[in-house]
Amino acid sequence: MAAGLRRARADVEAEQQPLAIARAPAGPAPALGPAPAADPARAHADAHAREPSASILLVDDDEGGLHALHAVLEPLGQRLVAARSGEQALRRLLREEFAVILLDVRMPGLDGLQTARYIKTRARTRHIPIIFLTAHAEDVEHVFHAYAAGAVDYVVKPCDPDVLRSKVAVFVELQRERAERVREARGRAEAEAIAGTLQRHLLPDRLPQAPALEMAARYRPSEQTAQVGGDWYDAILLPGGRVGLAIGDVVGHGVRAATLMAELRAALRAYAVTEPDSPGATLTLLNSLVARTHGRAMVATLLYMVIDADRRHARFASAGHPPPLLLDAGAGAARMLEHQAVLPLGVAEHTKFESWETELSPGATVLLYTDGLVERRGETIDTGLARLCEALGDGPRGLEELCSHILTRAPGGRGAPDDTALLAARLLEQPAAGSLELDLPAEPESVSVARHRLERWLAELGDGRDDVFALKLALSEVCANAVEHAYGPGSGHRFRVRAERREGAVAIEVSDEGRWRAPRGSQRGLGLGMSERLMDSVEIERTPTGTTVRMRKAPPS
Amino acid sequence: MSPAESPDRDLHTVALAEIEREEREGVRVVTVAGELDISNVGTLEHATFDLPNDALGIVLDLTAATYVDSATLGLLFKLQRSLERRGQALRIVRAPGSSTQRVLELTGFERNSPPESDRDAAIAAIRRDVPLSR
Repeated sequence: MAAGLRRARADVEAEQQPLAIARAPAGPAPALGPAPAADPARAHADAHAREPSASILLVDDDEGGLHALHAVLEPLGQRLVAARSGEQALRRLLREEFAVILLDVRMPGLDGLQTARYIKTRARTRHIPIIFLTAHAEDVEHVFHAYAAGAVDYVVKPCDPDVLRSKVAVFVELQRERAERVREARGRAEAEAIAGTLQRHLLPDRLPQAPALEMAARYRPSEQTAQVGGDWYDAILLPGGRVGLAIGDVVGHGVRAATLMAELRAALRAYAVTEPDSPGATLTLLNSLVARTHGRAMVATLLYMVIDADRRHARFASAGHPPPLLLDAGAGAARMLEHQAVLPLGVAEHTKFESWETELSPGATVLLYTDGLVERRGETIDTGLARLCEALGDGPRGLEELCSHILTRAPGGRGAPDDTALLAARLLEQPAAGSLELDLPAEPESVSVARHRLERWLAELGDGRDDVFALKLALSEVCANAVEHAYGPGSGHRFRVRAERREGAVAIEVSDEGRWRAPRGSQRGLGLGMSERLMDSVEIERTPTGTTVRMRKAPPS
Repeated sequence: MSPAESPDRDLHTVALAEIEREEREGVRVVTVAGELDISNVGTLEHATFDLPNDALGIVLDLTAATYVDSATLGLLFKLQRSLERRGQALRIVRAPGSSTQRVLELTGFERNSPPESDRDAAIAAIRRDVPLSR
């Protein structure tokens, strides 16, 4: 059938590589031009043995090494793509899907281990198996570290061709199965549906939970229905309790815009973790990647902000995006956070993005948004901005309600062709004296949020108790019970925590609306038993409408 | 993207703890820095998978773990049983007086897990206790 054609295409793609090592597999000469009438029997055998269904990425700075790999893997009949550096490999990975990556450990520039780390931090590529290649005995120690970076295997050069080939073949087979499922799904969808789905999936269906930050977001699609816009947002939990907030606008509509968004989002997530302190450095990396991979074909604005709730400050950088707004608790109107907006992403490869910093007071609200919120036909942006600042200042107190309020005040109707996104974050206020109240979704991630908030609350009480760990542990265990046993994850239920100081003792109450279920599994009751040993008293009240656990602990004498 | 592949979950895990694994002298060493609870204990379990049959065992270094919960302990009990059945050993490295040590005591795990103060000692103990020719 079209095997000849496929090979021909593989050759063309290979020629775009700096090093054209991909040649047609040995065997019958590849037919160029129109595909000849198929001999069904041969086509079947051919498809079975050699149909190139998968791409394999070979990364080595040494041309000889690439040639050797090519010779070993050629019999698999798959498409072999060469990259001569880690940077080049990452660029290839932005554009296409690979079944497996063979990665040389020692390379100038980004070495194999660093490259792997990038690959594994990006959501889109982290599933791709990596086989490390090394010629140096002393690399083996490093390769063990590579396991931690998410590698699956390594091979010491010079390697046994049969061993390497069979290792790679396993991953090719896995990829073939996965691709089959994707193809089936695609066959059913129309182009617009794909774009719409893509965008919906790119927007987080819910925001992550951060210990000291409340977040809410809205997305309103363009009212010209058949169009999918390029607005997107994301929230990323970073080490040290920091949170990265991103909002952006990719120029254009439809599948292309949605695909570019996907690339941006994945790359930002990777760089955000590499440069958690500096949004400017994050955008500088991102811009350079975009400019190199897309030339000027992609232009996007982006505002990226890292909030450190513990140190009460926010750092941000802007690539041609409208300014973020800040509303202090109790203030009547919001204000713009001043900065110099540099060029949008993708305009000039060597652009340096600066980080700007602002302090945040307890209860302060930050609003990031796209231009659909401030642009109205026949009006200047300044007018739109002033209206938005006002809407933020006179809105309702609750963050979710505030977001809805802002959207209703935004321009809409026929004059607003653009889609609109907004992302709001609020620093927790000081807890009301003596008590802590939480209302959290019944899911595993909530447990750490509960104990971190308890820890903050205890610290702010300033009692200097030395049993903070015991209180945290007891609370976590009871919350885990509420999540695991009372509902099961993903039920959409919530649970409530209330902690109070009564005559020096700390009283904690955790209540849910689920039916109590006795702990299951071989470690039944391990957690509850721990809580009982840690606290002075633990009482469980079960009713048909829910379960409440009350615990109490006097200060250590 | 299916819910199981949601990157948010992974990132949460990254933020809560870093889990690394390496192989040393026939022993797998798994190191945890940060907090372990029901939301990310699966990642730790994952790091103990595919232990080769000829490996001597697992050293779990919890020196830099700032928090462990009953779900973690549940995994340790389970791991200890399954390794024992295979003639392999589990050693837990933890700082004396640490909160991790406290949880091991509270759950009774301490009784069947001699304290190891550093990973080299733990590796040496496994190499001493587990016969090489099983």
